[in-house]
Amino acid sequence: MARKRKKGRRRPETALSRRSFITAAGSGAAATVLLHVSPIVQGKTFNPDLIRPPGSLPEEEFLTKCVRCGECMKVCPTNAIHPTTLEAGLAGIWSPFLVTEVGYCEYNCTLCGQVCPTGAIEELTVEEKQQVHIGTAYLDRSRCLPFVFDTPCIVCEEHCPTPKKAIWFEEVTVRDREGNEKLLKQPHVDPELCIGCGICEVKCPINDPAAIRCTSGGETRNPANQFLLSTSPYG
Amino acid sequence: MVSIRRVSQIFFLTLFLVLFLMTTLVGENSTGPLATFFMDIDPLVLVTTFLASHSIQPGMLLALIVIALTLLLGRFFCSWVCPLGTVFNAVSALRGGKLAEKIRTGSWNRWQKGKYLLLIGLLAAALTGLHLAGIFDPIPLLYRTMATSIYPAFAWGADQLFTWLYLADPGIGPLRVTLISEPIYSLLRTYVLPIEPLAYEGGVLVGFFFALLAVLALVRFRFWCRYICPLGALLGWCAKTSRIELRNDPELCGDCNLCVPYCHGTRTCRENGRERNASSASTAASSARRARSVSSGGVSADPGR
Repeated sequence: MARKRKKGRRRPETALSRRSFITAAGSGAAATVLLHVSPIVQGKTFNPDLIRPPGSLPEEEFLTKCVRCGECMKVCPTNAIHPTTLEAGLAGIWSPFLVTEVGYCEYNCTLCGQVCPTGAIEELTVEEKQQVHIGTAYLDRSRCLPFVFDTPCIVCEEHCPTPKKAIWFEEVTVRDREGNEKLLKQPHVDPELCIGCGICEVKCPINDPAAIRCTSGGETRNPANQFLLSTSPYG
Repeated sequence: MVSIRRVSQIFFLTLFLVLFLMTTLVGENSTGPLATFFMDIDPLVLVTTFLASHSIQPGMLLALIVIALTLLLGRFFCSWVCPLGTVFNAVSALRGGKLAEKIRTGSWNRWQKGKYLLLIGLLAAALTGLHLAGIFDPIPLLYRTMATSIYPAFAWGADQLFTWLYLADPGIGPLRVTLISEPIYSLLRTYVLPIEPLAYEGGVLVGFFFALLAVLALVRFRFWCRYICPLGALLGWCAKTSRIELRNDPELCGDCNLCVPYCHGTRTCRENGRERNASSASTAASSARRARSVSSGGVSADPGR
């Protein structure tokens, strides 16, 4: 192929034919459209497990910047940030997400944004970061000890880092098997205050899975991934 | 020249590892210096991120220095700087086999065009809004693999090994293995190992991808660099204008092909400008000197296509 060219000035062996150039470029563009078939990449659905680090751009923009280098995963002091496999669709493979069963987002830490080389995770000040909701904690009343076994437990509320705690108690009186009265504190989550950091999930004494778990719902970066509460920005 | 290049390779790999280890929580809410240095000097990160998102971070402009140097000096990055290249170079050095076999497998192969095609594909994908270059870009690839696979695996293994040595405490009389192993372990604890054991969801797959590439490096000399690496391809395009090049003298060349196993790009000399890189030039030149001393000829750049 290369040698049939004009005599005297041979093309280098690495020269690509026009056909292979067009094929390669076309394949790249085809990959773009093909990987966008996934509803999550198009933003039609939201994976509850896909909690992005604080300061992450909206999903579509995020994926145009993230180079999957893993700097945020290395620097995260609580081992919270992990590489996705298919959680963000194939287009988002090996991008960062929080596994709040393993680690939580430290309230006073902005390291992931500091080391992100491309700005996929914006560098926020600690004060800005503390306002960002990366998700929301949901209480599982069929697993939570004060709800299901009438066992006193206040672990999640104790760890909740927001100045006004996102987890609050309702004091209730219940009866046990023998009919004796028992005073219990049953936790509730205030979705307006909860930032989804996941420390409640990590510290919850129930492990398989925790009785309080975080999802990406309510994340600040995706206005479409909200719940229609009277407290939401959509009133 | 070869040993100078080795020193450079070891220097940059060490720098990579030191910066990697220092990218951790320091003090209240800060991390080690130059955490993003290797990402910032990576031209493929710059080009593809710009194409996909139309915006860049100021630090990424450092990559322009690498591009400028490549325009002048050729593909020096691959064999002098790139830490992944150094790793696969070391893995490939483990290959056995006869010289004749190495000359045969080290010769130009048209599949080497694959990396240019991959680069074109990644650029087209980035231009249309899919940023997948990081999957194949050697710098993010190595960092990601270190962070989520090699480092946690090493930490786990070291903990297991030294705990086992401590419990078993084998030795003869007063001479105990722990006399050596415990100081080593405390050094590792202080400078290398994480405070808490690390585990990464998805880290096994990241490690498996890397292991596959390492096996391929045993099959062909720097397989990744020759056939896949899109950063090498990008630098190859930049190197076309390079003023430095190795030429062989057909009058002197004895066609011994002894230079071939040392050549990182395969087919260094004559017309093949883009594949040639500075390292190849240096290594092949030194093997040429050796060849000359043997046959008083030159060295062939044309390993019998």
